[in-house]
Amino acid sequence: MDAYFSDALIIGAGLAGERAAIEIASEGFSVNIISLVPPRQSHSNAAQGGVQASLNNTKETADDNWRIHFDDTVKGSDWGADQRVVEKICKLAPELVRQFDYWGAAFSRTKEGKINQRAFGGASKPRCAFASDETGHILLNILDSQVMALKIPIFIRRQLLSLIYTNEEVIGVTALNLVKGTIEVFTAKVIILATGGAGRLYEETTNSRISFGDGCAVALETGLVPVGNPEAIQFHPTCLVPTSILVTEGCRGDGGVLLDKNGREFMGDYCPTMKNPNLASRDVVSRSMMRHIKKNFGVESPYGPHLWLDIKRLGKEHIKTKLSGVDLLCRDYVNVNPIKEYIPVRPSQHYTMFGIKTGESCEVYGLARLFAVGECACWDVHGFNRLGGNSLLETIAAGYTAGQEAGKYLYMENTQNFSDLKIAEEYQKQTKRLEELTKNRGKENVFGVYREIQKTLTEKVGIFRKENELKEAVAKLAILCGKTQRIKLGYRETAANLELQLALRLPGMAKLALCTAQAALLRKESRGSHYREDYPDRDDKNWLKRTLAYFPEENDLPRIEYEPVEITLLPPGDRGYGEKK
Amino acid sequence: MRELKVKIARGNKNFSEFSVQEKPRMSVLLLLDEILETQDSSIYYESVCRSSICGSCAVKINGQPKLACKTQTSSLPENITLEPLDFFPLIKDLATDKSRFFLELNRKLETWIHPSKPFSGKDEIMPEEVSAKLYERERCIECGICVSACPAASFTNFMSASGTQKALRFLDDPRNSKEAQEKLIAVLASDEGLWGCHGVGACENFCPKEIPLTRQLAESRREIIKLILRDWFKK
Repeated sequence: MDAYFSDALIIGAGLAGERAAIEIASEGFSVNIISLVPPRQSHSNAAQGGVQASLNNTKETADDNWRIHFDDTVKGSDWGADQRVVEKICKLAPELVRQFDYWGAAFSRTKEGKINQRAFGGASKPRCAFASDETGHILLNILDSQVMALKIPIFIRRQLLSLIYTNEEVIGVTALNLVKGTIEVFTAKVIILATGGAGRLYEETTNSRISFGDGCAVALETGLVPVGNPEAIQFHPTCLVPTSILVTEGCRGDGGVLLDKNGREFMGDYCPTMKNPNLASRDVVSRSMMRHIKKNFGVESPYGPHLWLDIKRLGKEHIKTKLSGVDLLCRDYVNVNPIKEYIPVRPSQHYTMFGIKTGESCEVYGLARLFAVGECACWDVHGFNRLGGNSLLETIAAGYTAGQEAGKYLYMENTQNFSDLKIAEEYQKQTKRLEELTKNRGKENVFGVYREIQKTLTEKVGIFRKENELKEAVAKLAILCGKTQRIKLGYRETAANLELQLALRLPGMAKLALCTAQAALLRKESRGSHYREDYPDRDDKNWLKRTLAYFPEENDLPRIEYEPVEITLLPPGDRGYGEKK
Repeated sequence: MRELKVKIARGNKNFSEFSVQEKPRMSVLLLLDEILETQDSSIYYESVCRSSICGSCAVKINGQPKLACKTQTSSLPENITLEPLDFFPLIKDLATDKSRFFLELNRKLETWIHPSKPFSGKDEIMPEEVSAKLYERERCIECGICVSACPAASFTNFMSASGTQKALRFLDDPRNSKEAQEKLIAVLASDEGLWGCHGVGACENFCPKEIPLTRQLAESRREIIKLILRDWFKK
């Protein structure tokens, strides 16, 4: 058994994980990072448009401040967010972004040499600091450069299998070494999950092929840790048809517009009171687009109906400098030159607001010494709809916060319930699981079951939801959960086996999907991205609360509980998008 | 749609052959998925972003290094041969380990900012054209294509076009210390750096991010000579 020990262990080498690692290593503690892929391939790399921070450094942003950022975020969340946490990150934002500049991030600049900012959906000021339209790539490179400077070891090509814990205190994890095919144990005094979102639960998603929600599923499988708001899933308005590759909201922030089959701007029909209805929040724009398509204003294509995104009106110079990535993606993937042609777009799954429920300091509910940061967590900055540019902010703010908090733990040196016996038991359990799988007792095809899960969520738990479909989804997913336990592999080696890797994560994914469907069925109101056709209005009297989904091992269905949502500064009111339903 | 004949390298000069019905807008990556899910789940390849921003799926397609996600089958003949990238250690079938090469390269060049002053918490001014140039230098996705396609990088100690991009990026950054910049000039002005390039141009031909590497290498050689001459005159 290969075993590694460090003061802190971080699972995931994207922005949130690496930001936490830097915070802890800078204090002189030892840190190990394990990651599914080389760090610069993490999904943070795919963020395009920018990071929100009220920098208040130019004429256009002169009257911006954390409070306006706060109000925008809470309205965007449809009052689902934890206002204490939103306040914290909005206040932290300017300094954290400037720290990236100090580390060397190549932010786009204004003529005066200040960090430039662009407009984004739901943001009442231009507040997104950006690097052309590859902001995630630039931030991740720079953060990873700091990790290299600090010589923090990263164990790549490791798939998280389980958490090891004793007396409700985490002591380590097991992971599959994808190259060798062996199970390894990583132990630490504190552990931070930073494994990213679960977009791959859906058929059509902008997410990378690694966004399986591994950390979230593994935490859920303990039965002790709840997933917060599993019904809260974001669909991004502008994704390429076909492929669902993201086209940044920055396109509309910079002045691009959505058009229908007649070349007409239509967003004003759905948000008539907004000055620029193309920049309503993502949930509102996605719904409006689908309503417009249902009214037969979509453009027919072999890949289903779509609408157009027009950025050619921004001109060649603008596209080549500020939207260069979009330019390349359109030419390479849909054979469209956006300088001269419209871009075919349709909403796709984009972000999981849901995640491992954490408290104000990113500490995980239900297990001590465990933190969760970034998209895998529900710190609850985003509630039921995330604003663009707030995900990058969350990664660095959570990484920073969890890093600080983990450091405090390590300084205190309080005794950990470390147990060699427990580690040996968990290692045995995972080894047995691997053996059982490769013995091929089942009969289900792993890819078949996976596609069924994706299809069920896509068709029945999408942008528009209703009771009978949600009931069908729950029933179907409960059956699929069972099937994930009876997989028959075509290829039985444990090293370098894509089929096995999927088979190992599939039971957890099915459970997560079931939480999503069940929570969506129970929430009888519409809030943010959770839209019930049979309950089209927000219902603060009954539903101003957060879902907590638990999945104990002996259960067939998740146990759903609720907790109150923290309202500190902005009481529930109108979001200000004037959405016509 | 055509019936594609696909040969996939399986290590030790062995190949597996598959026959696949072509689909509209099928990339080589989707072709691999099709084979994995319906014909042979033992084939191994890596892919992450499927939108040419991570570089993980670089393979040799009919002898040419390309990203599997970006290459459409419609641009290829019906006989398609897929092999791992040259130069990098093989993991299995089409997957190679490029990360070690890039980690060592980054560590050797110390591709991070060596600050000359502490963090002030305030906005630092940087001219628009300087940040634009840094951005351009940082678009590399470490796919390894320019390394494996380049005879100089493969068979001599030339650090590759990607390596020179990295060195130049941190040389051009005014936030980096003078001392760190001088180290980068020294390595760039050597056979490992800009002087090691043989001018083959394969890097630019195959770069999936369309970075004009040949032009940038030529311009950089001029800039480095200027910098060295400036220092001589100062002495």
